[in-house]
Amino acid sequence: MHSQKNQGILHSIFVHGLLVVVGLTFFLPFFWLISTSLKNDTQLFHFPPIWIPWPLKWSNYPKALAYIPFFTYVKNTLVISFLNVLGTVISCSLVAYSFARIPWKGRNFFFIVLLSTMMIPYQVTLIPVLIIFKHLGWVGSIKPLVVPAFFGSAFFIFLLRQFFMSIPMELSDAARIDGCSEFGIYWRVMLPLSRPAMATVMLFTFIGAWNDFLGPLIYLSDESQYTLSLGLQQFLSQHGAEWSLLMAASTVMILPIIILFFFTQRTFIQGIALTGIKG
Amino acid sequence: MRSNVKKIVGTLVVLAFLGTLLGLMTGCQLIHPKKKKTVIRYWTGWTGVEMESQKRIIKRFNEQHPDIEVQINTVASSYEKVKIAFASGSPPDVCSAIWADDLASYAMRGALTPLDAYIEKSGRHGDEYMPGVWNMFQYGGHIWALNVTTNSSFMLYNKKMFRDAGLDPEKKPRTVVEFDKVNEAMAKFDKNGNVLRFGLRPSNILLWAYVFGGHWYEPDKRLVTANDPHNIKALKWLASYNRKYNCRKIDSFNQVYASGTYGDQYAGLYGLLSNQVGILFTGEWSYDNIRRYASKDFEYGYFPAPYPEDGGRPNCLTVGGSVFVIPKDSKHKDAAWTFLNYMTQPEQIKEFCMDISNIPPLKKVAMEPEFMDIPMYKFAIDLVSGPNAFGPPQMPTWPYYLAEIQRVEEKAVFGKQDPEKLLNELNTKIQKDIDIALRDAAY
Amino acid sequence: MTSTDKRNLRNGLLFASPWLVGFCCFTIYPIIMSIYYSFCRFDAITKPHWAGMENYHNLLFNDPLFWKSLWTTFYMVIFGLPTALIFALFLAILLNQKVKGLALYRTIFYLPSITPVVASSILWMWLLNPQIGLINYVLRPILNGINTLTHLSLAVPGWLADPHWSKPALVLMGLWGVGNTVIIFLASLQEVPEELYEAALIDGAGATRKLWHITLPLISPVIFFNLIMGIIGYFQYFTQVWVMTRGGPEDSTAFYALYMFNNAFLFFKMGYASAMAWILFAITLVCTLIVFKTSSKWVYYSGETK
Repeated sequence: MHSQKNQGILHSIFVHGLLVVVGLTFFLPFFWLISTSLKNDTQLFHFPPIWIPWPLKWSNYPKALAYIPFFTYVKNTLVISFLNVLGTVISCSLVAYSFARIPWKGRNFFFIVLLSTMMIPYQVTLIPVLIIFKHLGWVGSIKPLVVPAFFGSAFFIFLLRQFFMSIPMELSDAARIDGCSEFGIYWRVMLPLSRPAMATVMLFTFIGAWNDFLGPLIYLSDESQYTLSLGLQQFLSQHGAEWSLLMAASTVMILPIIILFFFTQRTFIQGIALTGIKG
Repeated sequence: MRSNVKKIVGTLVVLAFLGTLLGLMTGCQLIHPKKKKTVIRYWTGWTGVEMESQKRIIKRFNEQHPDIEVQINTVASSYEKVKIAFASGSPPDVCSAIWADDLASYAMRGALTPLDAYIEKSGRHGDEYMPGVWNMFQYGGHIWALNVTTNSSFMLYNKKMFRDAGLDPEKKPRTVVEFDKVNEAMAKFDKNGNVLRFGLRPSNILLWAYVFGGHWYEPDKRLVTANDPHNIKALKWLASYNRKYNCRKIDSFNQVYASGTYGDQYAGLYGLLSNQVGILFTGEWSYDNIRRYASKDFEYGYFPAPYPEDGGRPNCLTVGGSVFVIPKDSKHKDAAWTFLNYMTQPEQIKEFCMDISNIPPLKKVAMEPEFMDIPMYKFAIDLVSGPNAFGPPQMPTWPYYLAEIQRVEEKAVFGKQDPEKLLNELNTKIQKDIDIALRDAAY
Repeated sequence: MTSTDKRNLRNGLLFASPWLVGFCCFTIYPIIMSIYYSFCRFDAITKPHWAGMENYHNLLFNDPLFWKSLWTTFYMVIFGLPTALIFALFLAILLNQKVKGLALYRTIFYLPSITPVVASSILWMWLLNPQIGLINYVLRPILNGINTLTHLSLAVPGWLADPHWSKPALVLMGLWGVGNTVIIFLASLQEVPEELYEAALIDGAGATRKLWHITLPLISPVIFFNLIMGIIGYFQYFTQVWVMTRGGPEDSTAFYALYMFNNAFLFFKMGYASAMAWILFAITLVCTLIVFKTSSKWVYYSGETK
């Protein structure tokens, strides 16, 4: 008994030690990000590297936020991200419901089609897609960036389908006997049961849209509509890069997501656990 | 767990609400009625200081032209956006986010408006520009672009390091033989072969082919000349450095800045200022950076690319950079020209070039004391105005050719493959490529 | 067709309609066009010229860089992906121990995944800088120590400046970005019933046996999922190299997707790029199918019918 307890302590020390080492290693680049964001030009290239610059050049932050219209970009990115979250959640849950719970003819065929669309590299469909949007008169607006979300995304449909499949069929059957329509089952039975999964989809979508670079690059052509990822690019000018400012802006950009993640991670992980990703 | 879900959903809903509200607010601003103005959409790749200067000039333009409103947008370093916009038929009205290297590609494909008639109508003349710069605006007998700034390139060296290496700091290497000797004197390695000090490993065969008296393409005959004997000689010379030294180690030594992808003004200079890199291949913009970063006692000099005495070209360099074009799909070509004409007037060019420490491409502006009184600028201006300033060949498949040229250089230098064979193969491949492209274009 | 079948078909199509409509509007046309382009010489600006099999023929027989880029991509799939998966699993197992401060560790491991790629790539360019980068700064004294002990002459790697080290550098960077995978693994580890471990403990099973005989079989569906997603992801590996190396040095990081992008948007060879895309599609499909086919041998589904 005694030795087992000792073993437990040893084990715990070992695990903690490993976590601290790996955790520090993982954190190091971030430390460097923050440290670089507080350096001046000479400190940047100094060798041996300067861990903590002194004096801290806090002025890089206001400078970075003034270098690009930072808060306009934050607002634009938020609008695009939230519309994406909204569209994805609505459309993907509906489509996933169809693929998971309604045995319709041709379902399997279309599911395979859905999965294979994930494998088509976007680079080549880029121009035809752009031409469609141009004919719709959407280029130069945020529509190409948000409207497609309302038509579902293959990855999230796949994810939600796996989740819906794990909910016992009896629940829907019972609801059906009570006179629920198919939409009623989706709305009253499936959605309330799948809130963690939806939260996961929301967070993934949000992060995806928040960091999207290529989409805004191609479709937005007015600086007042630009997003943060595009803004970051502006620190890399033709004649040189404003490294410190770029790092400062990046720090400010990821901060809200870190906070969001820190406080919501438990649900988020449960969401994934419950989606029962099983190939 | 339930409460956490609520927390997330709650947060997201609140933020979504705020986001939508903000969106609506901006939407409202856009609805304000405006006077009928011709809106010119202008895209640039400039950001930072360059962008600020452009914005100031454009503001003035908008004030002076009540019927036109120019809206400027930057694509930053993503010039691909421009290409994608051209491909989908939605380019801007004026664009300066185009490399001179790509100009012929667009021109041949009919994507641009020829500027000849406009230039003539406005009483402008090709003589205003330095000849090497003017030459790069042309393809197939037409003018397709103008520009507002140009760059030189030359060798900047650290005099103290020359002295330390037992060289006379006032004796600048004129020929490649002298240049090799400087490098030999400068090179210093530790016992593991790591570089402690070096001069400059010559690279960029594109330039050195011209320096050695060669060329890459003959537009009149539509002939690829990659295997010109001078080109071969130049490539052999570049490759000789990897026989004498370990070029990989030199490159890694030189890579004191993050990557070659983003040229950094200060990073490039760092090796020179810290007495590690003896010679830097750079341009006139270094003047400003030396003033900003170098210590008072930093002694430097500069010299043009050294050349071989038999058939080489002295004072040789390549020019390029961003150019201004009016896409063919622009709906307001006349107004676009009014703007382009304004931007390329001496006053605006002078203002812009002074803001960003570059040299002006207009002869008249370059002669002004603001530029001529600075010795390094004068030196740079003389180089660019000289007869051996080469723009990108007027060749519609040049971007591809250029990428292949760089690959051949890497194969010759690091892969130690035979330069002659490589350039012969390149010649065949590119000739075939251009023949097909020109044939397709003829339909 | 019974009335139930009809109703199901109607409902099924109705519910799937967002995707079906989107597929018809925004996916079918681009796919058909890109198939058509792949048989044309097309510069994306002027009209396409029909060229038959020319693009495919040139790719397969006249383009060494095509093969090189394919190999570079496979390198990441063969070395980068398993390394990343094993490392992610290792982290997930660590995090699954009941230790304090879990929320903090999870956030730290997830941080890289939420960092914008442009920012993280540039950050890594700094860290990997052979002269003044932090990584070599840490490595240098270690290697020097080894050198003095063993009389070897190991030098710090040139990372992104050296064609032999550029791909390992990307693998290393990939390890840092495994956050998403860790989170997915972690979620599945938490699903493994505690009773199984307790039963194993009574049987006297050690940690290794527990891992091998309980954990791995039970989470194999998730490993499978991550494997498939990883294959698809690495075949489209692009942004990092586009920001950091643009394919160099010596094409050592010229990934397939990057070469495709260059052809499409740098060299005005859209038709050629389209042909590349369809070859890539075929390869991805085949790889995915192979993994699917072999999955019955090693993926363990816990009783539920699928």
